[in-house]
Amino acid sequence: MNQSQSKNILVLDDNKNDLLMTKFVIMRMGCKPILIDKSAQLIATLQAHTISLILLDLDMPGLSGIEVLKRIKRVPSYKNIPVVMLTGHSDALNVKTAIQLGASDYIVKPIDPMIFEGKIKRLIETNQTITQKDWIEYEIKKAQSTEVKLTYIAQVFSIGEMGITLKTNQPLPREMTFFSDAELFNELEIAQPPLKVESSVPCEGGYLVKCTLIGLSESDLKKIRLFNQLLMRPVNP
Amino acid sequence: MSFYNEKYKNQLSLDLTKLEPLFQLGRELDEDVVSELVKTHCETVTVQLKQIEILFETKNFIQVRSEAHKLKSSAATLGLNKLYRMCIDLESYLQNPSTACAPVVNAYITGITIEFNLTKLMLNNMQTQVGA
Repeated sequence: MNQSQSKNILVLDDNKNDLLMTKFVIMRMGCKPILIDKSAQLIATLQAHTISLILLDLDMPGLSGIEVLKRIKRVPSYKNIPVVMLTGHSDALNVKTAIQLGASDYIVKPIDPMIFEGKIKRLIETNQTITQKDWIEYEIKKAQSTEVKLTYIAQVFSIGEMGITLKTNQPLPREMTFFSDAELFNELEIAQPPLKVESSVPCEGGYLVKCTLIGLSESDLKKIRLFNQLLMRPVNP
Repeated sequence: MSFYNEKYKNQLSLDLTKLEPLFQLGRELDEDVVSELVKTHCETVTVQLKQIEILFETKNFIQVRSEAHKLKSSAATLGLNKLYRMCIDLESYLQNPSTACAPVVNAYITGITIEFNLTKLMLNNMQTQVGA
């Protein structure tokens, strides 16, 4: 599925023609445009919708685009929404200030549909990756802060770059995150990686518990890759 | 010949190549994108020009500059190159405004108003031809 599908994109611009133009291009991208022409409407709109990206005109009466940007970046729940500034050719200095204040990019008016679409798509996709990274960090923190230590007898059934399957004598709850001190990880010199339970399926003599490996470094992944290659190496006669 | 006729004689009043991506956008969305943009442009610029005249009367050149800035964007979107150029030049001329600017600003406002009325007709004619 297209990553930009059904995302809400908020546009704040006092120029009706520019609002209309952005509306059409956002619609063509398969996203939903939410258009406002006054800074005062911003907070209510952010509260009412889940916004994936904000397009903000630099030159507006009342609160300037820079002031609006500062306010967005001060609110923890909104500060990670990418903001793209819409600007005329004459606003070079303001653009620099906006980027320093946390704007992700800028688009020079008049809006070129191709450039607009390219930049917005890229930012939405990048933000998706950032969200994924945040999730991994969250899961690691959750596992680190857990106070329950589980003593579990488990045997490594198989291991890949994305996950590990353990054979256990009883099922583990789905979504549970824990640190593994399996001997295999000691041998590979991977320090107790966090695992997240995806499923527990009954099998002969117990359960196969599939887990996702969270937040492994590239060097850890290389070790697993090498381990698998060595295991799969044909035995010499 | 007025100064704007001479200064902008090489600029196209209506650059149809700029409209092609908008027609394409309309075909893909199955919406009359160009008509909607033209309608909004005509409505907003009519109001903006009235506002500019009032601001000029009160010698509020900073706000005249701000209105010219807004107007240029929708002119450029619709391929109104001459109108766009005039707005840029007025905006630039009013970078450091003073009362001495009044005659030149007045000439720009006259030029912009004439050009807007002319391009409005051209856009309407074009739409009639496209629709026929």
